[in-house]
Amino acid sequence: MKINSKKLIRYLLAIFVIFSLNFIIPRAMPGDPLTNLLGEDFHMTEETLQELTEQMGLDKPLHLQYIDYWGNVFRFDFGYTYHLKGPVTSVIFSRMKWTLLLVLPSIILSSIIGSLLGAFSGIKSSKKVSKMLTLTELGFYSTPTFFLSLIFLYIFSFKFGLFPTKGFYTTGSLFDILHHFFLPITIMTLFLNSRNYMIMRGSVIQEKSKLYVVYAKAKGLSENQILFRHIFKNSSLPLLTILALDFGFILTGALLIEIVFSMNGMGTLIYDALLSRDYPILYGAFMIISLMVVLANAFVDILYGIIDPRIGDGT
Amino acid sequence: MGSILEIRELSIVFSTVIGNVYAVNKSSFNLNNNETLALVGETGCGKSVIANSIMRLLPQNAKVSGKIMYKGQDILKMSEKEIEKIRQQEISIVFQNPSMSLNPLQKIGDQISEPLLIHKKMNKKDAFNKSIDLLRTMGFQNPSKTAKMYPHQLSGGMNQRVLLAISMTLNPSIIIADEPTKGLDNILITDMIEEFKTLKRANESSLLIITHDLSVARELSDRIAIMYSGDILEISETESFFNNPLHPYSKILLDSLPERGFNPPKGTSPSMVNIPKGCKFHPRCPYVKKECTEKVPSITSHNGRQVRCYLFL
Repeated sequence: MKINSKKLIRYLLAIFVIFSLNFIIPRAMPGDPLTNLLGEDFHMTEETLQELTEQMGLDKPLHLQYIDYWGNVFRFDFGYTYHLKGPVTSVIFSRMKWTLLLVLPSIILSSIIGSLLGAFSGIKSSKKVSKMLTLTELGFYSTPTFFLSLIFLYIFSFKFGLFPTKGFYTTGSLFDILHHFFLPITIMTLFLNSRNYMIMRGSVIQEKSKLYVVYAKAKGLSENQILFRHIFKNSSLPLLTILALDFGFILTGALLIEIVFSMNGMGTLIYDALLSRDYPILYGAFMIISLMVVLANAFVDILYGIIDPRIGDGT
Repeated sequence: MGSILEIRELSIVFSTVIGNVYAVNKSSFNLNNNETLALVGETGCGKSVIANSIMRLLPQNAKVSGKIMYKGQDILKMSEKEIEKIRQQEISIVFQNPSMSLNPLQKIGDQISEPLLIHKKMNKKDAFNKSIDLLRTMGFQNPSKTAKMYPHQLSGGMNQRVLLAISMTLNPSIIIADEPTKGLDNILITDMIEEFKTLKRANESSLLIITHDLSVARELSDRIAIMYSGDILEISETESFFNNPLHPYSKILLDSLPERGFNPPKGTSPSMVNIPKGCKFHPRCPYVKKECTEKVPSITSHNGRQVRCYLFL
């Protein structure tokens, strides 16, 4: 369980560059940096403008601003949104916890279900069941999540009244929250699952023709033993890579589901900020999402080294 | 000496996009108790296909007919459950590409102990210790360290020895070695021959060695079978074979040995899709007669040896 120093430096460098870009962009954009930092629908008098410029240190030379900026970063202070009237960090975190509640269970469920289904289907790739399953999963994969959400919402909430139509909770009890989250998580899981299924199936089909699999058979292992003792682990590597790469996409990808189910999560926060040009929120979200993507990649990198001993040896 | 494996009229045809490939044609031979039989032939003559068919490891496009009798049971008629019990416990195989045969993500020790866990329900620790013992038998200097390593950290020759160690885990009655010296240099081949002798001493197994290397066959085998383009041309005691090869192809093969002048056989092996009429060797045979081009000669006994040629009919 170690990450080598070269990789660590690479990740730190990535974070450094991302955060520096976040400093440069609002100051390099055409127009007044104050507007770029505060958002465009914010109107103020000449005095407050002067006051804010001083308060935010925009009258100082750039290199001093840059040092101040890193000071803020380490204090987790990403500014203040005048649009939503609150510090960016707390606004984002209060929204993000709900989105994570939607996204994390979906990622975990879809990884387990998708990899198992994909593995079985890959092993029995010539069977009819496998082909039917692939067709179904392809259907889910190619259906946009908002469309799936609308269909589910129509059938299960409007027609049968089984689930609430909007929001995260009404009473706030555990059951109530689960009740609200059931449909969104199902849709998200179905969507991610179909992708995981495709990757795992392809990976297993590729892996099962390798010689070590024939050798495992020669050792007298049954088909299931070959799958779980040998093929499964070796085929899961591409899936891991995709999970890490897609982490940021998944966070924002929940957007469409959040809109359909009127859930005020990260997705809608970014969406609204984009429409109202609430730059502080956009910068903050950008930084936090990229930080999470880098961390997810570092985590998978370590995991990769544990699963595949050939990778850790290189550097 | 009773025979433990009897192969009768074994034919193997692969259906492929370019047509049917006739890899093995009505071949018969026995493997006796405690003996080492070498199956010798050029690359692509069907010897590895025979090895894989004994373990029922051929791909689905292979059509196998004939009989493979192991201790009175026909392997080809067994259910999948039954053959799983034969594999490794009764018959084990060493593949020709040892580094690709091992799972790249598992420790050597775990791969050696796997058969013990699966078939003997041994606990993990005992099995791992047994695997260290086997590695020691196969000549590893520091077996407990090797057991914790991965296949990519070992050389091809070392992985070969690991496969040999795996083949011995359950003391099978038959060990099949498919091209054990392929890709090894001369020193390693000498080592490998020593290792097979060790293996023979450690187990009372019959050994089927598949090779294109006559010197390996000479060192290790009690009997030798010569294969050419899916046909067995000659089966004989190794010693008498090297003293006096009967079949014209056997003679030419022996002449290709370095100590006999290094004369390679002229021409190439025939296609296995459009097989020549008559004796498969006739286009290259110096003694070719009219009948050779018309009908395949049957295999006959000649002074206690078996040969498939019109010269001995």
